[in-house]
Order: sequence, then C-alpha cells, then structure tokens
Amino acid sequence: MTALVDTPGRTWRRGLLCGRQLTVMMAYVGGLWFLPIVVVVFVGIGALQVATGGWGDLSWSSVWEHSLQPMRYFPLAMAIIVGAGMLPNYVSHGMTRREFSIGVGIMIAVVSVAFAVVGAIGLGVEDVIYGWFGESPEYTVPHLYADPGDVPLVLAQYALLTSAHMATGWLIGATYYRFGGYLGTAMLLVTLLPAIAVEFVLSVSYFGQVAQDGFGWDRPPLAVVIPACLAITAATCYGTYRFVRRLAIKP
Amino acid sequence: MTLGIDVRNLTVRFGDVVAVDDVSFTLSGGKIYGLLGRNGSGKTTLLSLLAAFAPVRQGKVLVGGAEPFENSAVTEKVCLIRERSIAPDGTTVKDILNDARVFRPAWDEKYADRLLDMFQLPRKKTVSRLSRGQQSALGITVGLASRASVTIFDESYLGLDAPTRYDFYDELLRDYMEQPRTIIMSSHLIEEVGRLFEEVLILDRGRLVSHEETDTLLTAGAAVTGPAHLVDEVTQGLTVLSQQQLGGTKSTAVYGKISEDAQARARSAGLEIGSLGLQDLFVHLTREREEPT
Amino acid sequence: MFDDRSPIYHQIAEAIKNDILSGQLGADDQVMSTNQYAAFYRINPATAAKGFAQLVDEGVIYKRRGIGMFVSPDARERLLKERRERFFAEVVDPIVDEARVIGVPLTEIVARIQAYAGDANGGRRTGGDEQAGDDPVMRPDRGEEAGRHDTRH
Repeated sequence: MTALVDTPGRTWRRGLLCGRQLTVMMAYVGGLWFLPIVVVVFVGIGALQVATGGWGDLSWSSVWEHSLQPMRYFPLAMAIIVGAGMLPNYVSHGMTRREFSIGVGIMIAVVSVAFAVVGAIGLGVEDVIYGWFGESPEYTVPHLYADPGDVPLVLAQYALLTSAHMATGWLIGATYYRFGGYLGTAMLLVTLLPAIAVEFVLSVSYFGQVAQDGFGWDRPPLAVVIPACLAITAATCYGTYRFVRRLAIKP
Repeated sequence: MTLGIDVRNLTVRFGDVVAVDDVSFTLSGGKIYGLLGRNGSGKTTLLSLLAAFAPVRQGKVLVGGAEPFENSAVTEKVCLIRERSIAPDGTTVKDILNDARVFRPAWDEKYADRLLDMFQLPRKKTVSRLSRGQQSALGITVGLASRASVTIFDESYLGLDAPTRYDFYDELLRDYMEQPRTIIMSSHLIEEVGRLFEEVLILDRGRLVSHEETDTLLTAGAAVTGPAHLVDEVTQGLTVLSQQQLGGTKSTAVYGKISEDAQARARSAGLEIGSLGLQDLFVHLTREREEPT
Repeated sequence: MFDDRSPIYHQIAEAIKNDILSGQLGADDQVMSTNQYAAFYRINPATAAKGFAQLVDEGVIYKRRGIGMFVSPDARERLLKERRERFFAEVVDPIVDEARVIGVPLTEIVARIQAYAGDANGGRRTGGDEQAGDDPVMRPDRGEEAGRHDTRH
C-alpha cells in the first residue's frame, strides 16, 4: 500500500478546487442577488436625482461613488460566513484547513477583481450618463483616481478595498467560530483593523478622509502604498490560516 | 481499498473533563464496526479525531498508517457523518452534493441520486428547512455515496422512523458487500443494529471497556441464577457486572467465560445459566457504579 | 429469526440444518449465498459466512467453486442420526431425571409412551423442526421483528 502522505501538489490541486467552489458560491450570491440590487438601487437614486434636478448642494455628485460601501461590506459579510460556516462544512467533506485557506485566498483574489471591474464599469457608465447632461460626477471623498477614465487606478482601488475587507471577514468569521458571539464581537476592535488599515494607508473613502483631515496623513507614492495594502491583506489571510490550522470543528 | 485504524493511548481533555481516557485499539479494516456508549461516553470525540475534525494532543491516531489531521491523503478517504448537519444557512441539498462530488474522489453520483429518491429528499430545499429525519437521510446519502474507505456514521439516524432506518441498514449492508470498506457506526439502537456489526467496541466514560467480535461478545456474559451460595461459588473469579438478591435466590451477571466444567456442575446443582444479550451486556458494562472510595 | 443471545453464526447453521431435516432443502439443492443470506436477514456477511463455513466443515453443505453452496447428499441422514443421538441425551434423560425428582414411576412414563404408539401414526415428530415447516429457506419469512418494521414491497 502506498503511504498516505500529503504532498504540496495535492494541497494546491485541492486548494484550487476549493477556491473554485467558493468562488462559484460567491458568484451565485453576489452576481445573482447582490449586484443586481446594488445596480437597481443606484440607478433609482440617480434617476431621482435627475428628476429633482439634483440635491441642492450635492447636485451632480457621484451616485456610484457610494456603491463603494456595499461593495465592501457585502463581501466582508460573505467572507464571515465562509470562515464560520463553510470551513466546518468543507472539513467534513475531507478538506484540510490548509487547502481551505488556499481556496479562500483564491476566492478573495477572483471576487475582488470581479468587483473592481463592476466598480469601474459603474463609474464609466455614470460618467457617460452625466455627460449627456453636460456634467461630470463630483466625488466627495478621496480616491486613488481623479477621473473614471483612470481605469488602472479605479481597478486598483476597488480591488484593494474589496480584498482587504474579505480577508478581514475571513478573520472575523474564524474568531467568531472559535470564540463564540460575545468574545468574537469584542474582538472586532482588533479583527476589523486590517480593513481599516488598508483604507487608511490607501487614503481613500471615508477612513481615507479621516486619515487626511484628522491625522494629516499624506498618501505616500503608489509604488509604496499598493504593495503595503497587498501585504496587509496577505498577512491577514496568512494569519487567519495560522489561526485555523489547529482549529477543532465543534460537535 | 480498505484502511485500518490504529489508536494508541489517546486521551482528550476539555478543561477538567476527560472525554477520552487513554484509549487504545486496532481495527484491521474492511469490516463493519459498532461503537457503543452512553451519551457523553466520548464516542463523538473519538470519531471526530479519526476524521481530523480536531488535532490529537495526547496519544496517537493512525488511519491507514498515517495521521489524519491536516493530511488530505487520509481525510479524502474518511467520511464522518454526524447527527447534525453543519452546513451554513442557505445551503441546499444540491449544494452539499455538489461539494461532495468535487471533494470525494470515489463519489458515486448515480448512487446518490438513487438514495435521494429512496429517501424522497427535495434537492432544492435548504438544509436548515429539512426535517430532523430528512437531515439524517441527507447525511446517510452523503456518507454512502462518498464511498469513502473509512465511513463513519455517528448516530446518523435521529428523526428517522423505523421503516426508514431499516432501509438505511439494508442499503448499508448491500453497499458494503458490493464495495467492502471500513464502516464504523455508533448507535443507541443496539437491538436494531447489533447483528450488522462484525466487531463491537464499548466506551464507558471515556474508557474502552470492551472490543470483541460480536459473536464472541454474545457469549462473553452470563446471568447465573439460583441459591445464593451456589451462585457465588460458580461466579467466583469472574468479573461481576451486577447482582440482585431476593430471599435466598441470587442472580449475578458476569463478564467472562464460565468453564464448561463449571457450567455442567452449576446446571446439575440446579442453577440457571442464561446468556446476556448484547443490549444487556452493554447496559451492565456501562452502568453507573459507585466508585470505590 | 435470530436473537442476540447466542452466537449468530451458530443460529444460522442451526436454521439451515433444520431446513434440511424438514426437507425444505433437499440433497444437492443450492443454498443461498452468504451475501444473499446476510442481506435477507440483515446480519453481518462475515457472520453469515462463519455459519456457512461451519456447515462446510461439518460436511452438511459443500462448495462448488464459482457456482455456490449445495446440500451434501448425505446431509439429512447424518443430521437425523446426530439428532437421534442427542434426542436421548437432551430429551429422554431429562424426563427421567425430572420424573425421579417428582416421584413419577418410570413404568407410568413407558405406559404413556406406549399409548402414543398405539395411536395409528399419531406420534409426534421428534427433533426441533416443528417451526421449520412454514419457513421455506429459499424465500423465508423475515421473522417477526424484521417483518414488523419492513415496509418495502
């Protein structure tokens, strides 16, 4: 009988399979439920804005800019479920925690890029529509990009934010599973930090504004910021993997 | 391929509670094993470790000669079905089967379909909305169709009515004969499942109190009834499981073989020697005894 | 069909012997395979195999490679002989013992038995096969316990 030894090849193959399953699940829930709702809501708000001739001072401010919020918190929530719910489920299907962690990493990468593309398309479409009225969207919080045409920067911002939030969700889900509701909630003070840190370092959106206005944070060059954000997200994923590696599945 | 199981001096503690207490046994594999024990005897904890649900901290667990924890060469071949589904909310029957198909190398889709039809399980329903019995049936479906070299059913019958349980036993036997593999079943329904087992392990408060072939176990205990002094004479030197006395008549349940000689003498002295069934033996072996102080 | 108060393989062997004695299974008739037997009575196949192995050892049935197991031509004869020998030890001797304990004269017992012999062919069957008559082995009853729960059609 051949010895039953785990090999890196097997780990990566099954990790990829796991990533595929998780991504398909996310695509199903995100693509079929979440994104259509987001689009309908924002088109609705936009139409209302046009119909009422703008909101006073906020006239012609970007509507899609605010989609950044749900576009981060939904993946975060889903990643919590993945951490707390799918891990036990997949272990019972014979997955190792290592394979599952690889799968989660793959899912985070794919879903972040997909959300970034949707975000970029949204901004572009908004820009075109505003253009029909001879206007261009005004942004109320800081971004990496100045203009929706800065596609690489738009993609980078959305992808970095989404991935950081998903990594954070994975961490939160794991701590909730391990420590239960009360402790898990108390630990949010710490477990939410990676997502906030990335927003801070990236100096975008609300926390970016806080960073700039409140702390006088000056965003370093992108060549520093982007690798730093990726490092925070990767470290969060790796740290969560280290945390779940000896995790017991509850009876 | 059938896999053997080797457990060496396994101890599991949860805080001050010792759930599994220095348990050792070897299963050669390819058989149907029964794991019996009262609630809280450590069955689920023990089985969880075989399936790598938790790391082993004290002692050793080997499946097919290798440690299962974080070793998918082993875990893909070990399928533990617990009494309760742990799928997250919103997961449908179909989702569970899709994952099993991807992750279980020996998965048999046709067989799964046949079992779903047999149990009349709705494929599109979410698991949380299934009845207790339907959840058990789903677990049984996954467990059988995974065709895992080591398949473990931990009380996977809760909520099933008697006819469905018998359907499960029939299916288990039929599929086991077609595809021999190591099957471990834990159950409280000893009268129903006792005859399915080739070997039986009995856990009592975390300790392994018996591991025998079922047929050996059926003759391992005896109830000797008759005049007290004669009963005591015959049962001397044997492990006494319980005794009852009414007037001068005594009935003693013993664990261990009474020699043919002693049996003949006992019978001629008018003692009654009955054998203890599996259920009785189990009850006696796991009875709350007063701890010697 | 089987209880769990004695080794099941032994009960299986006894059940098949009873079928041979009662004529349900004739010489050179094929016996169910161990797997069929196991499935039918919901017992572990290894246990069933052990029962069959015992019968092969005793020469009651024989194996034909690749085909199955069959009743030995002289099985019934031998079983009858065996049972008859046991009959005196297991049935007659205890009667005598009991009679002595309760003070029934042996002559009274002999007279009673002779009365039966006087009945034209009214003698009772010997051996333990009274129940076997309505228990065809190739399509046997599942027994009370199993039958109660079995709803398959």
